[in-house]
Amino acid sequence: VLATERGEGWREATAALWTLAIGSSIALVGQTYHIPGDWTAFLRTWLLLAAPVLYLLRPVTGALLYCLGLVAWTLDGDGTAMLVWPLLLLALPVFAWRLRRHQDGPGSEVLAWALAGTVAICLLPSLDHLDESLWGPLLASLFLAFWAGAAVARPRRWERPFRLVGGLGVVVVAMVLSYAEPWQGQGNAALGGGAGAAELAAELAVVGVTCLGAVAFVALAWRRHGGEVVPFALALPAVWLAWLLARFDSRESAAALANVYLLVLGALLLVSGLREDSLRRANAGTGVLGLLVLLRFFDTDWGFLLRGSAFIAVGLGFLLVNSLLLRRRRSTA
Amino acid sequence: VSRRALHLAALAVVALAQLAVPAAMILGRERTLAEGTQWRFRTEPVDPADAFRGRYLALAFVADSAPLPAGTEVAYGERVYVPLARDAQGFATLGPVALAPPALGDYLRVRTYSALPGDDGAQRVQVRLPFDRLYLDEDLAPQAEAAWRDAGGPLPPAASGETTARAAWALVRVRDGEAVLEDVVVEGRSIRELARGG
Repeated sequence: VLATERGEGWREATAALWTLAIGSSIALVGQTYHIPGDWTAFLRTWLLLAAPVLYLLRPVTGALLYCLGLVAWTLDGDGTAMLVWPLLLLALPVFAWRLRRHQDGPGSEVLAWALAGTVAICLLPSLDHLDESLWGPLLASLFLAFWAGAAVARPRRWERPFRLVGGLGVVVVAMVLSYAEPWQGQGNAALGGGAGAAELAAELAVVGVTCLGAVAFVALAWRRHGGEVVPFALALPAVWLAWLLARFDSRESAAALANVYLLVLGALLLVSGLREDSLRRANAGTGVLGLLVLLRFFDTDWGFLLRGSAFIAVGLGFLLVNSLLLRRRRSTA
Repeated sequence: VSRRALHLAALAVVALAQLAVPAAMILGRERTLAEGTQWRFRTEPVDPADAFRGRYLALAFVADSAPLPAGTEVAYGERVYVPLARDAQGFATLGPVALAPPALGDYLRVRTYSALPGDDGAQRVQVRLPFDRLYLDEDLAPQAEAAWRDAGGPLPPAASGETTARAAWALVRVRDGEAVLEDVVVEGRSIRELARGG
């Protein structure tokens, strides 16, 4: 395939066969000599041997298998999950080349889904010594980095997975953080309980890169799109301020701040949707407000009449916004 | 140098590296089988199935824990070294856990499970022996377990209520801490032969 410089189909099929053959041959030797199953060591060897295939053939299927291997290995959790980041960095130049050279190809979009999913799934399991109270803010920062990065990359086709995963991720994490329980950490040490110096440094580096990445992408997105980024960008100060509140004040005040952020996010999306005549944005705002009301429906002491009225108000608002925007569109058509 | 030539050179290097890993696995094990010392470990084979690995005989060993010397601490999953010795019947027993390989004699490189007090009150560490599976033909594994049971299996409880295992053992070659399982033997016959009805 390399010698005759055949087309994409040949490369993809060859890469898939090659990658699977590597795993099969290691497994076959393992079974021939009755080597007991060490799943993580097997996957690590497979990934290291499969990485050069990505460089030689630059395949989407090979990259997908590689991402799948990284996720499986990280979730197995034998205490070496932090190595997922060097292994991902090993393949990152190929991913970057593919996304740059085939900006609007369907393969690039599939690759972007795989990359966004892999990073999102592997982040927390790779941080063994991280206090649980940091999980929410860190995940929110990562999703915000995805969303802002996608805003910078617009209008390339592969930005969509990052925008969807990032936007939905920010909302879902904020919803989870609107309860008091997720803010309960170990309390004594924010990071580093039982960790050695090298492990601590590596985990701090991951936390630092995630947060700095979020700040950098938000700044770039702000320069390119101005105030449009504000509703989501507010997540960063909101979650980290809430984390400080949870540590130094109370978990309830941290949860209250997350609720306020969701309220502001929904309202800002709704208003900007109405102002810019964007049905999608306005409905996203109404959706966030509706979900917030739904969550609080079950865990507040408000009277049934008040909660029912809030539901009806959200429904009416949804109808009102849609009819208003549709009428405006008809009059301008 | 053309781009195509560079690609082909890279392909050759990658292919060599990829072949080197299974080749090293094979050569190391073959050397152990040829030059290693043979040890017998009392075992009880059972036949589990795995969605990915198929069927195999899982081996539970009588000698699955080693004494933990006073002052030595080991964590769960830590790699340690245990020297091998033979009991009165010639079966392998595990010596005291060490954090470095012993200078003399055969030893195994194993991972630890949990520490627990032994019968004599001294601390012992459960270890995972690196030969606890015998991979067999898909149809042969259940027959092998049945053959072991037909040959006696675990003996019925004695008057004292204790069960005694039939004489089944794993034949293992050991060299420089590496162990390779050769066969499982029940009452003096290979379990593969028994499974085939030989």
